[in-house]
Amino acid sequence: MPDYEEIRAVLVRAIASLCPGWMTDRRDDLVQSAMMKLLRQEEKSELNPAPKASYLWKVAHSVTVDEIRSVRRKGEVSLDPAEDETAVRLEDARAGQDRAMWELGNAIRECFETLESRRRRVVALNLLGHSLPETAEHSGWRYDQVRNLLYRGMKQLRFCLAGKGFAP
Amino acid sequence: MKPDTPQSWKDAVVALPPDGCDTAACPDPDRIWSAVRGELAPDEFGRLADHAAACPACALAWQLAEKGSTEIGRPQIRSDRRPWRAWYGVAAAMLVAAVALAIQFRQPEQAPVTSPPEYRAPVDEAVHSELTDGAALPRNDCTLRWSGPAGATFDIKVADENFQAVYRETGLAGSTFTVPPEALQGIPAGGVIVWQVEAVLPDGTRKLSRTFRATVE
Repeated sequence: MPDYEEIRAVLVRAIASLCPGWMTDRRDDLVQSAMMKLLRQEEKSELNPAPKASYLWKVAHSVTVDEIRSVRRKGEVSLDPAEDETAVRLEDARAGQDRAMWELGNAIRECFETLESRRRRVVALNLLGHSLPETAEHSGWRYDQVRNLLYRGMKQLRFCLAGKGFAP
Repeated sequence: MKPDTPQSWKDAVVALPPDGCDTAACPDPDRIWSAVRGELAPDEFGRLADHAAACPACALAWQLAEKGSTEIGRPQIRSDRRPWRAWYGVAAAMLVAAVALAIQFRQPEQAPVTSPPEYRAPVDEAVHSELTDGAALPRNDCTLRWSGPAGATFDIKVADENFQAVYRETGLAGSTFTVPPEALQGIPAGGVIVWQVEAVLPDGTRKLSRTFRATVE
């Protein structure tokens, strides 16, 4: 029988760490969703009686990402008008900063399209926080090859962004 | 060379579009987590990374997985494939080839190989499987058992019969491991998995087992 208090404590910590700032009001719901997911697995006898912390973090990540996708789905209309008003106020508060970030992100993605596919992958992984040794290991490429792809890819990305008026 | 990557670029690639995202074609978050943890084959890892490069919602999911993975301890990288190691590899290969040629000339007639084929030459006999080779294991309780040096922790790697990684776990204190059923989704009933254990001794030395075989019911 899993120790649900211990599991819940790990999930609370994981959700607190993974949940973006603009979703802090949904943290309790996310912990609950994660617990429900684990309970469903236990009902089907698919849950390890002593799940490892790494597995619980994986579940926490999964419910958080599902919620982000659900909240930010294109064309989604809330059934609760009050929720919409809150969303609009939040949008107003951070609109300028978010829009600027989105435009820079969009420019980066446009520049990615001009990069050779392996350079694009290595540069994107670098921006997402994947280390060079990990990128080499997980892609099945040599470390020096990956380092070279990153060096050349970043150089090309800087040049492309500068052409669009974005300087680092 | 450590690239000088502006933080603003890292923040920008995960900024979500103000008018919402189309996430219909996005991969399951579990796959993104597995990609970050190095649990996927290079092909699938590459597909997910390419998708995240083009999709801000999945880029955010990827970045969150990186953050979580750092907090719980990133899986150990087996080899960093640095160039000087590659040169050592080339030198070693040349030496082996030279020795093989010398033996060939000294022994023109060699007896045929009669030993049964193995997945990998035995590397160390410090870790043994406690299951019979090819044992049939239930999908919902695919428990692998082994014995190894006292005081060691164990890293385990499970792959399908084509040696595509299925699951990897590190830092196990005990000498059993139950493969999560969802990791076995791609293995058909009666399909073969191969598994290998590496013991990490208290002094940091590592002992790699043979590759063992089991059948998933």
